[in-house]
Amino acid sequence: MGLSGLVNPYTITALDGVAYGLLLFVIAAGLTLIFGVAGVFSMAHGTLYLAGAYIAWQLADGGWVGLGLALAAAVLIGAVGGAGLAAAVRPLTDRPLDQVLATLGVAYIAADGFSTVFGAEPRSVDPPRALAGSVSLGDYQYPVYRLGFIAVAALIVVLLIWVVERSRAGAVVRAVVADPGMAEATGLRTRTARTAVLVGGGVLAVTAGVLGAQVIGPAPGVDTTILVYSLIVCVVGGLGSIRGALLAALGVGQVLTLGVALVPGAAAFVLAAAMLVALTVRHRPAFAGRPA
Amino acid sequence: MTPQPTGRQHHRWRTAIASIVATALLAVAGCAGSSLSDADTNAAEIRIGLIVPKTGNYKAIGDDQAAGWRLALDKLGGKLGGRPVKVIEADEGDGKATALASARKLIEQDKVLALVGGGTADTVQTLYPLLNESKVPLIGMGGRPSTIADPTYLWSTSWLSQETGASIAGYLRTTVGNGRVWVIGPDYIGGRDQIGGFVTAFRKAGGQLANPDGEPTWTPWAPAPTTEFSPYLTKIKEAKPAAVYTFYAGASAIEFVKQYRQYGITSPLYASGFLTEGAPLAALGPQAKGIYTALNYSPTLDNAANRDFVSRFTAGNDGKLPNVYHVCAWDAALVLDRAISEALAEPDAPATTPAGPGTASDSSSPASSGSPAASRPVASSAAASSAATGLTSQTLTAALPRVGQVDSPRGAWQFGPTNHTPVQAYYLREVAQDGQVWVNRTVQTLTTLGS
Repeated sequence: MGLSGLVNPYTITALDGVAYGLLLFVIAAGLTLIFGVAGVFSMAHGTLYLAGAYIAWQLADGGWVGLGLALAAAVLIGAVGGAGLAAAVRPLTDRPLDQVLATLGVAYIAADGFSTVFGAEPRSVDPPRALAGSVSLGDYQYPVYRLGFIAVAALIVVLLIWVVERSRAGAVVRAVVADPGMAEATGLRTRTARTAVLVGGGVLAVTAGVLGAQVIGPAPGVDTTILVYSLIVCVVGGLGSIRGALLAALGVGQVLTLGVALVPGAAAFVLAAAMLVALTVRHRPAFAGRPA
Repeated sequence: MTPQPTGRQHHRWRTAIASIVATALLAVAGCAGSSLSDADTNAAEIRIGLIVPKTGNYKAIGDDQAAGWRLALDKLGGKLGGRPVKVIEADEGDGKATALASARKLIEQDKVLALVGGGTADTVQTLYPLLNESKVPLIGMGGRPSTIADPTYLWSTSWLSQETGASIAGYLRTTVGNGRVWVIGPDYIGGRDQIGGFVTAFRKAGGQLANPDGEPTWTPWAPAPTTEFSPYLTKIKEAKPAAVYTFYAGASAIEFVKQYRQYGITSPLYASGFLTEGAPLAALGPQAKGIYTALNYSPTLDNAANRDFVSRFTAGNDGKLPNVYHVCAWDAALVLDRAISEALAEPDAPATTPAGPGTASDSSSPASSGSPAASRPVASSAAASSAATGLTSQTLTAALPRVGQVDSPRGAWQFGPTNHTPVQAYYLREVAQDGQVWVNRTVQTLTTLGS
């Protein structure tokens, strides 16, 4: 009775919200750092996720080897993609609108490339056999892969927060976010920090694509969907703030799941309403990020 | 501050980008130029504009449509109505601006006799005023909006979105008896048409919805299409309805069915045929097993036209089976073939407009079909082709009502008098395994709809 009391439609849905929120965080964390450190609003961020999802689809073989290969490829392609973006926007330093246009152009070209190489059909990616299927929770069933995803994503969250807030590299990153001029004056290599963050953000986004392909599979248009959600997470969480992004992602995850379950009639508006509240109530980032 | 790029670097970037743009423009101009000069070499050649999604979210549909169209042209020996055909292809993108620009180019620059294509209802809606203005007919072969007032120049070989749901409502009512059906669908115009058609007919048959408020559940389409269905599925699981009816297409269809299985919903799943048509079925495979859907085509239909069609298609596509988009595009070629023959044989014959509230009752409508002979001499100005043979966009439009029965792989059909959409049979299909592939197997004929 104890378990079945705990397992009701709302707790199941809330658990989904956690999985979805963590996925959004892994995607958006890179974007928020890229903006905070490099000052680049990368419109190609969803493209990186989609690249990861296609890698997962291409290499998935129902076993751990396929997933491992896909993750290795994700790190490589994420790093190359991030470095490429860094090179593309370097001539446009201090011209934010031109950077947005340049990355948007990259996104369009890549989208066309994807549908040429992988076809325009939406694809379904199956998890490794060991994680396929569902487990019973009381009267309900829950996909095993999502439980595994929650565990892995939680690990990524802890690692990421440790790197940003405890490591020396993280200190440089935070210094550049807080005051790029002063950071450079004290001898920090801000240019290297910028490139490094674009590379790191790229790796995170492509990795999220590999892990998330079972939840949001590869198809034309997915890059835009992911970009929209990550922008929402970044804006609500405060640009450049990693903890803000975590809270925002978990919040958006709950709004998209528990929110539509509680107020089904307003499903189309709950996300917009949540954004409106976050933007009007919050005058500055929830956590120290970019100084106001 | 950060090191500024030098002026030289700036310059180099600009030069590089400018040269890329220039190359692209030259390439585009080159294509357009060549297509024009070729066309002039053969006076008897007919020019047809094929406008389908070649980029964007609907590219998969456009690829299928183009393949079906080419397959039919191959069968007809590259001729329509006995005349050699030059097909000029253009992209409709996501509808709206791209579609309009492409159609304008085809009509004004290439002077095509007729347009074929239109993957989405959006495109048809966008092109509709242009068709009436330029008096060039469009043989639509995809989504068809329910809001067309005067379909004089719009003839669709596809379907009306409300029909799919309406066709299965009576059957489902009988199957579930007094049980209730949970209805869920996407919140955009196509989804509302699809789901609305089912709900209206289902209620008329005395059925009741299992949804808590007695109304269908709508999943958001903005800011991005819903791919996370767990909150809805958990509620459905709790309600234990006698059946679930839905409509999704493309990526949403894949995620919906995957999660339907993952969350262990045991209620039987009924849907509009698009849930398991083409790419979603290929992606889902065994996960789609046992889903019942309604559509105007199934590759396992047992008729001579379908056997010929399927064998031609599979021969050229590595054993892959055709879907409804291939069929509607194939039929568009059959329709044009017949209509051009009619127009060439009797360019001055009055259209035998079938009786119907749309065209026949309103004699003042701009319909060339019912209008007096006085309108005929001016027809040639905007339209293409040689006036000597009398084949113009106008005489072609006038010949379209005379096409009669189309011997289609989906079974014979003909244009309805009101909406110019097929009066056709709808079929109940079940996803089942056939050797190595998963197919929508025909179970029975549901009903005949069309107007």
